[in-house]
Amino acid sequence: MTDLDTRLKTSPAESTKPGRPTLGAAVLTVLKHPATPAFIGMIAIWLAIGIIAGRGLVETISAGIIIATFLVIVGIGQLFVITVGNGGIDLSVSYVMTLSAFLACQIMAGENSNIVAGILVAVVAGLAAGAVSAVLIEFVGMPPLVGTLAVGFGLQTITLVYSGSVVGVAAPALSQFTTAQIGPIPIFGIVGVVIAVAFAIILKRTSYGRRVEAVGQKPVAASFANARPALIRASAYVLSGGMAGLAGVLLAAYSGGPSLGLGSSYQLASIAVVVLGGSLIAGGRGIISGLWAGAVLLTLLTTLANITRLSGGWQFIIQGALIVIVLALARNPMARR
Amino acid sequence: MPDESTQDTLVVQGVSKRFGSTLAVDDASFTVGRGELIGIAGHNGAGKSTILKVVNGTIAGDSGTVTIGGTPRSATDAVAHPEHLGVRTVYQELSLCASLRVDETAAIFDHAAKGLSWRSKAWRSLRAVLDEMFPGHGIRQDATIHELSIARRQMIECASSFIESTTPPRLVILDEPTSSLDASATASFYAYLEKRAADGVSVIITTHRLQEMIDHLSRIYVMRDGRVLSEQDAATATKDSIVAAMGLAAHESERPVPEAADGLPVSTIDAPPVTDGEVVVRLEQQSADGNTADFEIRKGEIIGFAGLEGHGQLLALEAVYRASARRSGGHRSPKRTTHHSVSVVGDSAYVSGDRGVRGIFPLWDVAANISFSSLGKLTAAGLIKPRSEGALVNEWYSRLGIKGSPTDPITSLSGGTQQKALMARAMAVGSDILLLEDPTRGVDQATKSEVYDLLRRQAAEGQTIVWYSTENEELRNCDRVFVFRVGTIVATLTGTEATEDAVIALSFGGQDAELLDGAGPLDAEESVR
Repeated sequence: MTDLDTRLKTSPAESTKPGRPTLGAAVLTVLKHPATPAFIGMIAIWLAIGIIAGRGLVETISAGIIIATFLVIVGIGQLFVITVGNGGIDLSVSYVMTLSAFLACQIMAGENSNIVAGILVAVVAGLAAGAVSAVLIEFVGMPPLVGTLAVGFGLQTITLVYSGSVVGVAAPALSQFTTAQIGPIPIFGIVGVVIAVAFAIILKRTSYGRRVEAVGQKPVAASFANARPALIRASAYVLSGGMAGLAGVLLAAYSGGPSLGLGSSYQLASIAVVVLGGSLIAGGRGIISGLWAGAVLLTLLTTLANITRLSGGWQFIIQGALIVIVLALARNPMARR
Repeated sequence: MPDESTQDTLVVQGVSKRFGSTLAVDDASFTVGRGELIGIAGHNGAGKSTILKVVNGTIAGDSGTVTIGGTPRSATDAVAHPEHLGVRTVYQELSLCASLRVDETAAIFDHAAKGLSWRSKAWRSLRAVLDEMFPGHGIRQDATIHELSIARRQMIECASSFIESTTPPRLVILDEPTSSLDASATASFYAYLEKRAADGVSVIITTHRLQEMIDHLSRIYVMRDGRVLSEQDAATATKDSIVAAMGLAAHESERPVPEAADGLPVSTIDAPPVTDGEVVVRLEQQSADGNTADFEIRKGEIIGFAGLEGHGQLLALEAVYRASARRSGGHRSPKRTTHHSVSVVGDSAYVSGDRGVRGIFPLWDVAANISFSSLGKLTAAGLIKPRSEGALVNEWYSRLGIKGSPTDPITSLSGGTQQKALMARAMAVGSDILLLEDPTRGVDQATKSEVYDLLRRQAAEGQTIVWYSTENEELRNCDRVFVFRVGTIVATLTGTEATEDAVIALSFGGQDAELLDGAGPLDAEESVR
């Protein structure tokens, strides 16, 4: 990532060498980057859609990037949880999204003046859910898989009971914002890129981010180097909850209002994009650029499946096969732990 | 064998084994007669465990022969199933599967237990031994291993090695078998061994409880630096004679200062102890018999924690780390261990010799590994400054003479260089206290000397250094040495009065005692998490 590149440039070995690294070496560095297979896969499917459907490439990618942004936002939280290691995984994200969507839409009630309050309520609800997961996992000692699923089921029940009495409508301005374009450029897609860049900087260029990766590699070593593994891991679950809450309200705005199945497809997709992007499922290395490409890839894959009018079964088979191919490409010595 | 009754059960001739640059066993020879109980004594790292593993064929030696029951084999051959030769081994580290039941565990050792009722058959074999070896043991057939106390687990291990099975035991090797057993269990255990010895079973025991060896065994071999240096008849041996052999014998071999008569000074630092500096660490000790004592460590001192492995040094060192403040000069509430209350003024950095688990971050390059503990001072407006990070890393590359590029993956470095990088990580913090847990484990001699020089310079600059080492030789770099036994500090040795012999004599002390943190690093790991 960016910090690695910077360090390469400032390292003494490099500066003492005469001249600059050759173009070939630079290309090799890019090809070896763990995010590369996700970008290649993304571009391949994009082009395939253009060829098969004869659709405009620009419209395809700009629509894809908008829809992928929801996945990027949830996926970033998931990436932090996976990167802190110790079997970290957050299965509650889909339930957090749905509940947050209902809460936010009730607050907004179709009024633009309530947008800030609505988003705030959604994010805070998500942070709270993440905090409960963190307590169950880090202080009660439940395995992450079970802890987050338990929280998710709790939230699902709350949503079922609570949603019966609520008719929420998203604020129209927020709905327009998620679909607005300047020429061919989707504004919401740009927001997704900005969020991804911000979190890439947090992960790679702050001491908090370094601790996240360190704890994911060797929690005992980190504890002997002045980091507190339990606190770092707990923070990742809280972050993941907050991101899922944000994604929930935005998705509700995009689709006009909340629904009970709103988040369900994001539970496993959020995990898939983390792995597709070159992050290690065992923790210790998070790649946010790859996650972004992975999210666009998955979104375009659905588009491709839809336009080829294949039956649902075949769509899943093709999706699965493509994911296997990307992961096979992404295998490198560092990933084998 | 035609004349098995007169033959020696085990003859070891000229066995050597080298691990990397360390000669773990050096031309060792000994014999064990049929129906004889013998002991092997020696300090940590003397090569006891290695020679026993070559005997039972777990590891292949580099040279020599091992003759079991008259059948010779080259020591360079490993043996897949030593139990088929009638050789059974109980290792020092408890090695039972925690999730198995007692009867299932017995079935692992009892190859005769087959068929549908294998559990009951195996249990009957085990119980026959258990009832005799440890009367009133109170172990149930259906208990799961992890529910049992360490003492009961040790009983099961000891008893399992005497199960008849398909090949009856001929030679049983017991590595610290009684470390968790109380006096009465130990007595009945040895009574059982003597009874089986009368049937012709031979036993080799290693233990740090020297009195046990003298009371119950016939002969004792003493090892030091991989060599079998002395053979003593238990009837005439005394604790002092064994300790003397463990400590002094080696001085006959190549040592830098030939001073065999008085023993080598462990500490070569003649300067008077620091008595005027401010107290940085205070250990308030309460021993099992109710005595209390305070130990103070002052700014700029180098303190060694010595003693036998697992006697509380690690617990005390980690307590110092946990009691340290987050920032220089800060305070925190004291941390308690079983025998100590530790209070610290200032912050600390920790270097572990257990690089793989407690040291390196394997996915990162060397630079990120070194800067990790110092990120706070490399950050501006929340972001790490690459230029400052690079400068810090380069500074420590040159100060420690680390070879290669900071962008090399840490895992591509040799063990010694990785250790230097970890020293750099801890020293770069510039903390008030530097804590070292066996920092030169597996490091070659040249790097060791560099590390010692570096530590002296750090101490001269006012950093306080607390150093736990399993190598007594290393403690000569300390101003004062605290000797631990059974969890408490039994003596502090200053400067030249800290000889290697004094440390060894004090570590074994007056009475045989139980190991405290036998599972040491594991317990400690939990406590830090």
